[in-house]
Amino acid sequence: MKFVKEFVYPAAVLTIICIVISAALVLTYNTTEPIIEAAKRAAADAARSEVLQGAGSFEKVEVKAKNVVEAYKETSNKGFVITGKANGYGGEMQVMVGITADGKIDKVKLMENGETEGIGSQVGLPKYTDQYKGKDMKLNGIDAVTGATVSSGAFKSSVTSAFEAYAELAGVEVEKVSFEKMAYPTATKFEEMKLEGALKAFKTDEDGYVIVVEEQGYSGAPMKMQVYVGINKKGEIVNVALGENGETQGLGSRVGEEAYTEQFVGKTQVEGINAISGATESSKGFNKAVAKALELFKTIA
Amino acid sequence: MSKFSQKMKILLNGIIKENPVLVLVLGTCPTLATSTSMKNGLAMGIAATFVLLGSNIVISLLKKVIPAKVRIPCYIVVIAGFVSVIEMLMKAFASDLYNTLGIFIPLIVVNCIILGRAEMFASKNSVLDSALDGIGMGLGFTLALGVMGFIRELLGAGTILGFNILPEGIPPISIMKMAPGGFLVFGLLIALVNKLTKSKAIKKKEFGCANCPSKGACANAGKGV
Repeated sequence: MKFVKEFVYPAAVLTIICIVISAALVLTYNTTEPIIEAAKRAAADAARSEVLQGAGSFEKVEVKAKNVVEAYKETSNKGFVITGKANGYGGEMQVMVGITADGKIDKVKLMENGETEGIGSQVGLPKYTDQYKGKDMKLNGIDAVTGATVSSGAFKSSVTSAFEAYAELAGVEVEKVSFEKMAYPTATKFEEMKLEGALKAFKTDEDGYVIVVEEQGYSGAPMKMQVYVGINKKGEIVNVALGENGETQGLGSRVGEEAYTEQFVGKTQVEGINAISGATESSKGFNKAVAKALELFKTIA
Repeated sequence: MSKFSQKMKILLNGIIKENPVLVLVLGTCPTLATSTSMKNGLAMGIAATFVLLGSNIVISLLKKVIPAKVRIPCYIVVIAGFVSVIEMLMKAFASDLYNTLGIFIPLIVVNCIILGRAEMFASKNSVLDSALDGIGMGLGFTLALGVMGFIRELLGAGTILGFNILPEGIPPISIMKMAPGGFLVFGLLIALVNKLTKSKAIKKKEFGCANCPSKGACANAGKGV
């Protein structure tokens, strides 16, 4: 009897209390859940109207483009509101982009993110987001937030993904600057030529070359990365560009960003290059490719 | 003393004389965190009051059923249940407040005031008395948060309930919105209440060992204060 009183009874009381409380919680949850969902939907619709001026109502559309959370078409053909995503500093970042019918951004808005308060979170402030107004898919001239490179890169990447979905929906060709042009911006003509050891090679109209080398970046990448290296007749690197690749979006893919590639400009050797933290293998692979391109340049008569 | 004034005494107790924040110094964490603005402070206070009322009533109802051995887990489950219900209701019907208070809503579960009153009062008193104590303590909490919120918001942001009060030329003292400012206001308010209740404050005797939960393990048990 004492055993029951000392052990069974207290345990039983606690268990019963837990069961009763749980039942009450389930009841409340079921009652409030539909209301919460409706409120979330209304907030999302309000947010969408925020990024696309003069918008009426929206209808959801499906897109095949990658890194897109959701896409909505404005019902009176004013444009689209697409939410792109990318890996930021503190996890996945989502950016809602309002694109008008003429392919330009009306407004962007930082949505879910885990960026550091006061640092990376600054990408959500007008000082940064206002830069995007009126830009088209090329997104030229966006200055990153000082001290928040990863967050800025992820934000830009999300916007680019949103544009890819836009291109799909609006039936527009995603205007891509060719990789060889990115590697040698000042040239206008690129003549393909054969070069032993290179994936591809081009002679430019400025007596320079663009040599394309394939190299494995991240060991988990499904394909080798293609690196385009523009070299002038003096053997100096004009620019480098990341071509087709399977590097991790937001991490290894950042070897293709200006902050990394500009380190190579003007150099004749691969030295003094700071790897991207968190993307060591991609950085090493990229550097190796550039070095190989420089070697191959020397073999051109 | 008539029955009515007896009950009123319990109710008013929590408002000044035994104000949970300024006299008992319980629930300090949410106090400092949510008193950055008057609206947040009041919202937190009201949410906590509901939980306090609910948990005090339930625990008082069950006081004969819950064995002492498992009383803390039982109280916590009841309190957590009420907090979860409040949280869901706020999320559904007051989502702005829900978003502003954020993490501090679930933290009501471990708000010392609630567990403290459950242990110190509700487990030993009638349902009506416990309910009145809950309301009184809740009101006292809300009052303290409201006053602190008022001061910190006015000095720290120049607004009251969001309305600009301070003229443009006078910049607000932003440290008031942060931790140091909070502690400063907190300390000064405690000092003020001490002064106001000098003649009626809790007599030291009332803190005696009889009500102390650790008296079984304490070496100084029975030695008074």
